[in-house]
Amino acid sequence: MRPVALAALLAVLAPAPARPEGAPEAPDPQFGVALTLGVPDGAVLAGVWSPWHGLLLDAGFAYTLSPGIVAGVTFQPFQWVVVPSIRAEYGHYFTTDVGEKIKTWASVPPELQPFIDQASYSWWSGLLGVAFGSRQGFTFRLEGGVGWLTLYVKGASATIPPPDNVTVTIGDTRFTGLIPVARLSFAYYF
Amino acid sequence: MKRPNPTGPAPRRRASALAGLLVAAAGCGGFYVEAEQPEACITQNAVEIPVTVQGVSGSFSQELSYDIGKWFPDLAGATASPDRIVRFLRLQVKVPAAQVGVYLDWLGTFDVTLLPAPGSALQEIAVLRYQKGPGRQLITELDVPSTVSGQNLAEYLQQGVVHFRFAGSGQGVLPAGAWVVNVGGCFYAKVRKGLGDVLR
Repeated sequence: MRPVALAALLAVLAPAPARPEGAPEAPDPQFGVALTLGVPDGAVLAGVWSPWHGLLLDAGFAYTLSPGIVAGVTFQPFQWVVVPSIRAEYGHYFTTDVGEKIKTWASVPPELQPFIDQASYSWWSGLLGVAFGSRQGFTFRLEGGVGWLTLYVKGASATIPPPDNVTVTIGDTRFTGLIPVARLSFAYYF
Repeated sequence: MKRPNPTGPAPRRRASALAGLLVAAAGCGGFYVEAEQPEACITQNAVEIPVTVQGVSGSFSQELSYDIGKWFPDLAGATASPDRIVRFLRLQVKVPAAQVGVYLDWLGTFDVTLLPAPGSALQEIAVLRYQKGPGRQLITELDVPSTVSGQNLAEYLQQGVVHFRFAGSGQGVLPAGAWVVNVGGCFYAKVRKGLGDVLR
């Protein structure tokens, strides 16, 4: 591991400075910001609010193929330098033209390309994870779990010239799936 | 804003229970993806159908093939199961736009029959029947619903292609020479695959 990366990791894992004997326990910050990278989340920039000890509510803006929103609730049962977490999440990506990106990434056959244009997706997920760092400052959390994904691809119609000479009209296609989900989030509390 | 750190055992128990459910969900069912297409219509344009004329009456019989697998590659396999469903919803018959003044009034009745693969043990299935209603005139388009729209016909796909026989008769102003018409079949399709298969 590179020295800089090691130093950063140690800084995160280091426990908060010991408070003087008799001094009141430092309260946890109630607000924070988080940057998350994940599947199917994409990249998410969220605000975090902790209304109660161990409970974190977050909501933010996301981006993968299109802009979206992601909201979740996370429970971290106790405070320590390494803490297990459990999370429930909902996300939605708004309808957008994904044609070119899908064609590039998924090697869609040419005859199917006219039918992939507007799409949106949403998901619910449950995740287990582990959080490192201090709620007094910076933390990062690694999570994995299962998700229920729903993807809508808007229908389209196209005429394929001779020799096929067919007109194909496809309604909105719905894709659903039980999928693995994973996310890595960095949060700073203040 | 800051506030103290209360703790309590109840949330931990609830979290443990939820964690157990998550692990069970991940380990038991397996991951999968399902694609559902409520209606896809494939129309063969300007199909030439020979009409046998006998006096004022005419009849025809033409085999039509729809390559569903071309548009839904995962349907290319010919097995029927809850994971692979194909239903025939309806047939559309339409006079091509270029044929101004041509009508389907002469068409009295027709049947559409689903054909199994040669050598298959499957039976032919009558999937719809059209009978002209009294007094209908200047017909340029017909939309006839299937009588077997709830039946899974995936076994009838041959390399993704489904074959029909389109046969009927009529009288009146018969087509001169070949009957040129657009014939469309509309289908429901659903495919479910394991996530590993999808990724491969």
